[in-house]
Formats: sequence, structure tokens, C-alpha cells
Amino acid sequence: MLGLVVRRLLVAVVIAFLVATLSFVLVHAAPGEPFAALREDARMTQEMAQRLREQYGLDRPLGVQYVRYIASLARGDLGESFLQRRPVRSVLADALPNSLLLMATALVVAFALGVALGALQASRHGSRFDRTLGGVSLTLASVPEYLLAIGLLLAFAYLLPIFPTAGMSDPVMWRFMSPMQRLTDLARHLVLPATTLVLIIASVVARYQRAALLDVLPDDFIRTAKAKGLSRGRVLLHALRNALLPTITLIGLLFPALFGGAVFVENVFSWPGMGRTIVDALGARDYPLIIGSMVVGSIFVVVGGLVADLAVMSADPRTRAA
Amino acid sequence: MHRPTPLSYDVAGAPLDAPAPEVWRATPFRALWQDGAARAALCLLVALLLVAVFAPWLAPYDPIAQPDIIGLKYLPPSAAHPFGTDAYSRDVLSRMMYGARVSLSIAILAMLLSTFIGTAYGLVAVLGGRFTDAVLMRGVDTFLAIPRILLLLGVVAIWGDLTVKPLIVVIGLSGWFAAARLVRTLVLGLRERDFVIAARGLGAHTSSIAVRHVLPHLASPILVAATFGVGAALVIEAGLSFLGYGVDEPQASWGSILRDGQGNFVSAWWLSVVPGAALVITVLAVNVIADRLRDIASGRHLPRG
Amino acid sequence: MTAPSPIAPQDTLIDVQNLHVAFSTPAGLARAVDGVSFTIAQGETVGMVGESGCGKTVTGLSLLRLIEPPGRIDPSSRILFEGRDLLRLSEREIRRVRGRRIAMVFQEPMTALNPVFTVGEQIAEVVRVHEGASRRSAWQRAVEMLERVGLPSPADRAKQYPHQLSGGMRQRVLIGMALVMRPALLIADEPTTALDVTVQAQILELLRELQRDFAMAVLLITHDLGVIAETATRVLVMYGGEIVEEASVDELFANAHHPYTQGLLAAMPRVDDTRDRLTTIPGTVPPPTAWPSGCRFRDRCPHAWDRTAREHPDLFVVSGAHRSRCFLVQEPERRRVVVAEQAE
Repeated sequence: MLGLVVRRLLVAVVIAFLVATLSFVLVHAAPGEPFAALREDARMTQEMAQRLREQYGLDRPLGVQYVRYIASLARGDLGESFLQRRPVRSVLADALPNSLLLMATALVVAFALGVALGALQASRHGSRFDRTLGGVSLTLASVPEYLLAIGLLLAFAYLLPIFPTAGMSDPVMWRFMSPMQRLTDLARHLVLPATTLVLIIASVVARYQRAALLDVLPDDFIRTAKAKGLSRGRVLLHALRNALLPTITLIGLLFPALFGGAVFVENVFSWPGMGRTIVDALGARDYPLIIGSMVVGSIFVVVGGLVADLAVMSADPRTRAA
Repeated sequence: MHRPTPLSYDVAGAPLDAPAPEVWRATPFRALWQDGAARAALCLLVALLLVAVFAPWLAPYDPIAQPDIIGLKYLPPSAAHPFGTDAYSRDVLSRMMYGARVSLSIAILAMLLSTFIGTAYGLVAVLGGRFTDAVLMRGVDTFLAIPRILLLLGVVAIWGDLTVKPLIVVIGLSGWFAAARLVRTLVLGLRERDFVIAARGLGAHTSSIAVRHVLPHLASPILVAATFGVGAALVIEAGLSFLGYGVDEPQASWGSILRDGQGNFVSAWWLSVVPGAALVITVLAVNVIADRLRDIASGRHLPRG
Repeated sequence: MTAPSPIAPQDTLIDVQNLHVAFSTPAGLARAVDGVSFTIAQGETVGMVGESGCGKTVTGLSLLRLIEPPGRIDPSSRILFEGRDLLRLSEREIRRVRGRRIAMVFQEPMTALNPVFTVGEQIAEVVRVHEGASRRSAWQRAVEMLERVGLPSPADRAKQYPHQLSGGMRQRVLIGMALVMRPALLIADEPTTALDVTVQAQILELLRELQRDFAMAVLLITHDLGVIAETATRVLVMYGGEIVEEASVDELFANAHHPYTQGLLAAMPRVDDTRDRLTTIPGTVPPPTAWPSGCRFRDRCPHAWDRTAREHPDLFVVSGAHRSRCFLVQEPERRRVVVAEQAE
């Protein structure tokens, strides 16, 4: 198993490297000279231009530029953000935890909800309940995140003002709050953005879990479990323990979609995370920040997939020993 | 959606001897037509395509005309403007009709591009041998690791604003990785099947095996994936427009109309509701068809009764 | 409708009366088991033999009420066991019977065990569910049972997962799981079919030994008359969802009456075989959705005459406890001398 972990980690490093290369290619394949648009940018100081030229070594041959660029990335130097006038690394260090909080909350709730609903559907598949829930989940899976986000915002922040409309905390009251109040305030701000992601991911997980269970239920060992005299619930547990493995794998594959969803949700709810940062950076043509976000976001996705794969491997006795 | 429980262990062979019900022998389209939800979805999509094709004749107004940007802006739905007007006094119904041309053609053409590239790439990866496969699939893993919207935003932001044609290419190029993976996995399974081994034994050329023996078996899973791909492309195009990186003004797509309504969705609600509803209904229709096609292809489809 | 049982009632452990099981399929109603009646006495081993598709596995599953939709046991059927009709028990009550009073061993030891639980857990679970035993004592019982079924170093093996055991060991685990509650009846459905020949013999020996020690009744379902000859005392031959012949093992092998049984016997390989090829019965079993109206074997029978197309034969008494579902009991002169067809 250790060998597998090492191999997967190596693959992750290779992928991060390839993403960095891709960013480099994108910048250099763009029409005109890289950063041509920045020439006239008023915020562009002489010093920053110099730094940019240094980082990308624009006066050197492409090969040298590429090596220098990768080397600086490998040192963790992502350059300076034009927009915020501080290192990209520190901008992302502020944004990433906020995104992780949102995504982790959504993922945990969505996984639990999706598995439970999928199991319920599978245990009475073909029933009215199953078909209704199947229709609901297909509908939810068809709604773009930004529309669902706007819908929830409209419903629960404007029409029924239960939850705040934007941000992570109350901008005025925050400084007067006790730690406990701050936590509650954070939770209140988290509800709508997290719910948006939960509804969409849970519907995907539920559809998948249902199918995975229906694949397992006709298996011989389920018949054995029934012949042992187990209750319906215990039999379902036998099936679920097997059918969970493909669902955990799915979670790993969902990370890119989760991240993409967060880009929209963070923008609708002004959640100060990676997605918000990226879109702001795009608007300002803040290249170092754009590329830095892409690389860091991709590394996050790769690590998420890796964690999911490791979880499956350790949950499946057939691969645990390997 | 009904899954036939295996007919137990003794009689399992028997139903196979019996004549298969009509639906199994029918073409996928016939089977699809027998499902109520899929039939409704098909009708809806056909109607939508007709509207898109005949928009110049059907639209009541010029979609980019700005007759009176003071007096006629933000008019709520009325007889004259069933879907109201926007900030520039443009008729939203007409913009929706022309927007359907843009949104649907981007989605369909991008899907065709993705499917073609993905299928070819997957076939080359498997049939090209172990080393080619490893290299090509690492490449696909890389792209799959990047959220699609991020990849697109990166390209669009760095390369500047795009018109419809480049947008089709860019969206198509960002959507073929999963298809490549799917095709590769399917072909890997098929490669060990008797008919491929037999064809190889008879001395058939690799590429002719791919085209004549392997591709026909991939048709239905690829069709399912491609159909889901149309929905995904619709969502992603509207998403790009929503973030401000879609088709250029004054051209309309559903996403750009949605963007016009953003920030104004309480007072000018129709600017969000109309394109939003159109988007959800269309994507749902596409996904219902894809979902049913998958059921049919996997043999899980049985007439309800 | 049911013929009088040849066994004295006080010895009867299970009495199956007029069992009908049907599956609704796209091709119509498949009457997989169509009026089966038999009894098993306490401690008796009964063999049930027939080709695949004859309804023997469905019969076995019916005794535990493990028929799943679209299958259904006809409500007119009765399965009397320990003074109760199993078909009229509540779901809760039948669960108390499954695994505790009647247990079942399945054909495929490779797939019949849950891959993600240790074999010890899977056996202990039976004890915990039926006795409310503690985790610890249930585990202890599981290890003892594994030892009893002849698994070497049972305490270590109990902690292993099914994929770490060989096919023969898994079948021993399944037998241990079935017998841990000391059931009165064990249904063994093709318990050796999936195993190597040498392992088959060991498993059959184990079953015989446990049957004797636990004084339990066994219903041994198989397509292999050789297995029946070695293990059972009485045989039920099934064809087309019905019992077509019933006799003691010795009587059946000496004086098989039904042409189908005779065909099965002719198809058996023997040590003293001088034939070049084994004979087979020509034709195939008709589909359960469309049983022929007369004798179900008539299309494959060398003796069939017009009456067999018109009337459906009863299970006629040949002699004593020997019965056969064939009009040749009444019209023995119709039996022709045939040279059995040779298989290719």
C-alpha cells in the first residue's frame, strides 16, 4: 500500500507540473506579447514590471524562461499580485482556507445526505418514492450552480430574510462579538452557499449510490445475509458496506466539479475564497494571481482525488493488504 | 428505471429463450419514444431547435435594437413584450430566440467536437500500445484535474474576448477528457472479447479492427455521454457569460441575458427568471434523454406495467 | 391433492404441500415450481436432483421464503415445519427460522461470502442476531465452529477476509456459518459443484459427518446423481417444476422407473464404463412460461404416445414408497426397448 501511495503522490506532482506548464503555454500562446495589455495599466509600477520580467525572463529564450518559471514555482514563489500589491502566495493563503471551509462542509453534508437518500431509494426501488426522488435529483443535477445560488439568495435572503446575503461575517458587528457569537455568525453566513453546493452534489451522490446498491443487491452474499436471518436493515448494511466503495471513488472525481461550483457560488454570495479571488483576478487581468490560482486549485483537486483513492483502498480489504 | 431482478437461479435461462419484448429489439429512438418523460423532452427540444432556426422570422423585434433606452427600459412582461425589456430597452423574447441560436449551436457543436476528439484520443491511447497509453492518459489526468470552468476562464481571460466560433472551439476543447477516458476503458474491456481476438487472429489491421469491430460496440455509451455533454456545454457557456466572459455584446446568449439581470433580480426579475428557466428546462430535457438512453443501453429498461 | 406421505407423521420435520412458485417475466408467468409436495424426516438426508431450470433451487429458496419479486410463492402452498406453516409466519418470525432452525449453503463459495467482512465476523453475526450474544462470545463461537468444519488455525483464519481463503476453505466457512446455530434442517444447494474434484469429496465427507453428529436433516440439491448416491438415503427427481420420481436411493439406482430418471442414470459416468461416449437426453427443458399440457417430458421421451399429450400424469405408486409421474405405471406394455442416442 505504501508503494501505491508513493506512486500516486508522484503522479500528483507530475500533474501539478503539467498544469504549471499548461499555464505557461497559455500565457505564451496568447495573441501578441505576453502582458501586452498591461503596458498601459496605470497600476503597473516600474518595479512590478521589472519583477514580472524577471520572473518570466521575457528577454531570454523560451526554454530558459520555462525552466526559470518552473523553478520559481517549485520554490513556492508565485509572484506578486497586481491587484492586491502583495505576494500571490499570501493572497491565496487567505482565500484557500475559506474555500476549504465551504467545500468541506458541503462535501460532508452532501455525502451523508446522498448516501442516505440513495440507500433509501435502492431499498424500495421502483416505488413511487424512488421515482419521485429520482426525478428531483435529476432536476437538481441539471440546475447550474449559479442559478440555484441566485434562487436560494432570492428566497432566503431577500423574500424571507432569514440568512445574510453576502460575505462570511457581519461587517459591522463582527468586532463586537464574542467568539461564540462569531462562530454562529459564520455558520449563518455559511448556510446558503453551502446548501447550494450540497443540493447539487447530494443529488449526484444519491443517483450514484442508488445505482451502486442496485448493482450489489442481487449479489450472492446478499442472499447469504438474508438466509442467515438478518433484518432488512442489517442486510442493507451488508450491501452498503460494499456499495460505498464506488461512491467514495466518485467523491474523488467530483473535486474538480466541486471547485468549479464553488467559483460560481462564492461569486454569487461574495464568499472570500479561491473562486472569488480568481474571478476578481480575471477582471483585473492579474496574471500572476490567475496562474497561481489555477496551479493551487489543481493541486487541491489532485490531492482530493488522492485522499479519496486512499480512503477506498483502506476501506476495501481486497486492496488494503496489497 | 426498473431493474429486472435476476429471475432466480434455476429459471434464469428460460426468459432468454422466450421472445424478447418489443422494446428490446426496437431502435434506441423507439424505446425512448415509449417513455413518457423522454418523449416530452424530445418534443421540447425539437420545438426549441425550430425556434432557434427560424428566429429571424419568429422574433417580434430586432434583438439588438434599442428603440428608447429611457422610456422603454426594464418594462415588465406585457402583451407587447411577453418577457419584458432589458436595460437598453431591447425585447427579451426576441433576445431569447436569437440567444437560443447562439446557446444551442455552441452547445451542440462543442459537444460534437469533444466527442470526436475524445473518441479518437481514447482509441489511439489503447491501440497504440502500453507506452503511448501511459503518456496520453497522464495528459488526460492533468486536464481532468483542472476544473473545466477554471481552464476556460484562464484561456478566455488571457486570450481576450471571444466570438461565437472561437468559443465553440474552446468549449469543445475543454470537454473531451472524460470522453477519452470512457472510450479507453470501454475499448480495454472489448479488446479481450472474442470477436476482436478473432479479427486479430485473421490478420486484420489494428485500425480496421478499431473502426469495424470496436467502434460499433461503443456507439451507445458514447451516445449517452455525448447527450450529457450537450447539457454540460449549455451550462458552461451560460456560466462563462454569467461571469462576463461569454459572447460579446450586443449579441445575445441565454447566459448573457442572465448576466444582464444579475444585480437587478429583485426589480427586473424577468431578466433572471426567463433565461434561468429556459436553461434549466433545456438542460433537464437533455439530461432526461441521456438518463433514459443509458437505461436502455444497459438493458435496464423494461416497460413499466 | 397431496398423496399420503410414506413417512410416519411423528418423524416428519418438514412437510411441503403443493408448493407453487411463479415469476412474472416479460415473456409471461414462469411457473418455476408447479405443485411440489414432499416431506423430510428428522435426521434424514434427501437428495433433490434435476437439470438446471427444473425448479430445484427455487424449491430450496422457498423453504426459507427467500423468493424475491418478481417471484411469488402461491398462497395456497403450505410448508409445515415444527408445527407451523412457514408461509404464514410474519417477516419477523420467519427471520427467527432462517439461519437458526433452517440454514442454507449456496453453490458459489466465491461470491456467497461478503468480501468486506472477515469470515469470523460473518459467522459471529449469526450468533449475535439469533442469541443476542456478546461480540466476544459470538466470536468465540465462530472460532469453535471454524475448527469444527476443519479449518486449520481457526483463530487466525477467522480474522481473514474471504479473498484470502481457497474455494474449499470458503465452502467450509459457509457450512460453519449455516451450522453455528445447530439447525434442524440444512438445505445444501449444489455445495460442491464449483469445487475441485478432490475438494468435493472432502466437503461431502464433512457434510456427512456433521449431519450425523448434529442429527440434522439435509436437503441436498444437485444435478449430480453421483453425489446423491454417496450421501442421501432418499431421492426426489425434479423435471419441469414437478417431482417426477421419488424413491429410496437403492430402489432408484436399481429400478428407476421414469424415463427421465433412466436418462439421467444413463448419462452418469461409471468406473466400469465400457461405452465410448456418454449418452445424453435429447432436447431441452421447455420454458417455464409455457409448460406442455400433457406430460412435460413427452417431447424428449422415447415412449410417448397420444395419451401423454392429452393428460397430465399423477405421481403414481410404483411399489411401496417408490412413485413415478408416468403413465407407464398404468400401461407398462407401452414401454419400448430403445437404444439411447449417443452424444457427439
